[in-house]
Amino acid sequence: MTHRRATLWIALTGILMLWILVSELIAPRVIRQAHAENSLDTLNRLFEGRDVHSGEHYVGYWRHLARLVTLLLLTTYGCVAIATTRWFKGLAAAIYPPRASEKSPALPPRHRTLLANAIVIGLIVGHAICLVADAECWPFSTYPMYSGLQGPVYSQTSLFGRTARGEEIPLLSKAYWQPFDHRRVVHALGAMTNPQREDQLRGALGYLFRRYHELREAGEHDGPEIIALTVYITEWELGRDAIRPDAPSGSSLVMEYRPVSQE
Amino acid sequence: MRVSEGLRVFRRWNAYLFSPGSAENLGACRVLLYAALAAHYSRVDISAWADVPAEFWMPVAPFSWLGLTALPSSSTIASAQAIWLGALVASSIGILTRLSTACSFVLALLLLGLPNNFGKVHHPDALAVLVLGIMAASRCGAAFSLDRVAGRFRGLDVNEEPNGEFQWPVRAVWIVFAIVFFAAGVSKLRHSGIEWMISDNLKYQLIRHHVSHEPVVEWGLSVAASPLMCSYLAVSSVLFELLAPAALFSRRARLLIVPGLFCMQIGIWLFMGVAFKTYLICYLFWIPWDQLIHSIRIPLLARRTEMGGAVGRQSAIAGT
Repeated sequence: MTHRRATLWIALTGILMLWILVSELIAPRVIRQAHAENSLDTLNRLFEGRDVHSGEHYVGYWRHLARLVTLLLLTTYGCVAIATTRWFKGLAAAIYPPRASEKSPALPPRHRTLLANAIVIGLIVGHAICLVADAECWPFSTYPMYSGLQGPVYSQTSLFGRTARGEEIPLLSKAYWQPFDHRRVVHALGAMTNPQREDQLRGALGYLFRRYHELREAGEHDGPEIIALTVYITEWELGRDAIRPDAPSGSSLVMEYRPVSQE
Repeated sequence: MRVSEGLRVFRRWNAYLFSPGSAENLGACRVLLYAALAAHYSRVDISAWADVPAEFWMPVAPFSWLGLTALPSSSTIASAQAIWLGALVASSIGILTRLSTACSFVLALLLLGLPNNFGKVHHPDALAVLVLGIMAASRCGAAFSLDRVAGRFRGLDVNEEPNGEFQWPVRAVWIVFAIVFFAAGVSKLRHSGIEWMISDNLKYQLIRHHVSHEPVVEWGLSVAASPLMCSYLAVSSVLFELLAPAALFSRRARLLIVPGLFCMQIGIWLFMGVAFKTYLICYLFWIPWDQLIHSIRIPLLARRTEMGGAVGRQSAIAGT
């Protein structure tokens, strides 16, 4: 083991031990005392106006954060342990061997060098503009998927089919709406659910109703025979046990579509 | 002083982008990428979008800038898709590689962009388009292509020595990967801050995907039951995303971060039912195919030499 590596190991182990000691033994006591206003003035002031919750509430929150940090430190420890071994260094060199002439590369002709640079810089600038403006400009993007916070209640636009017996069935399969998939259908319908766009929503449902039956008759799917389409805003309480896609906690009807011949 | 500093940075940048790479590595990436994309998109019917009524038309930039009021007919789109799939197959085999890769890129830009105007932007397709654009500008047909075979037959000499021409496309794809993940990490911090990682956000995301999607396995609900595990996974995901650019420059970081990101996307597929198939295909650019081929070829050659030697000895014995 080299001197540098040994120093790194000792430093990391020391930090980890110190953190565990402070976070598990010292910090909870300090929090309890500060909550009871028995600690230093500065710490006592941190809990001013927060006596809605008990001291144990704050200790619990602290423990959650502290254990998260401990896990992350352990992960860092593991990654450093792996990455600094000779075996790993050898593996990295074997998979991505250092090229002898990396410092003086064999550049392609000037026009090719310029083209390659223009493409790479274009890709970087395109994404940077999107990132700064926080806007989408396909195929560049800020990749905002799932970047919003999900709370304990989830609501979405849902599409149901009504059978002749009056049953309402969620129509989730991609096969019902091709070329749409279920996610794209509900996203698009969600954008039309305000009162000013009622005609647009009716027209869209008319198309989906026809499409459902066309694909069914063509044998593309074996969905139930439906006489109407209904659009709801449905809600699920995510904190509950036994969540089921077909059993929302609440729903409100936005529109029911029946073809003119059936009305 | 500043000019010389700038020049030094530019030289280092060029040294990174154009470090010697092998034609075999880029050729293998081309064969696999285009074959996988052809297989993936052959199951998608883009022509059906032509019949979708105007109520669903919600154009995104740059389609909104074109001011399109009507789409081409379904038969026109079907023909374009057939040509595109043909171009993808031709690019994979390496027939008229320069033309077929260019055609693959231009048609992908139009055909894969089209569905994004109907209510939802599908991000994985964007990565495919960017990678096809890079490949179209590269000399990826120099190895493992029918063009190369035909060139040899006609006595044309193509330089196959490792050089920057074969390396920059691979590095450019790496850069796109790094940007994409870094941007995703920044988006999370920008829109939700640290709450994204330490609150119950991931717990609820996992549960809600059992309502809105169809996860491959039910384990997401078990993970959601542990707030600590959820926070740990959330922090790890954001850290891996933000550290993605380190994979460009450090070999050891590359070996940790790239498999980490791959596992993260597999995890999202299994636990949340969101499949980033095009991303999974494009990970092939991180594999050093030339090293792999080399490591397979040497034992095979050694065995062949050994067998040749044994046959020689046997015939010598028979001769005596």
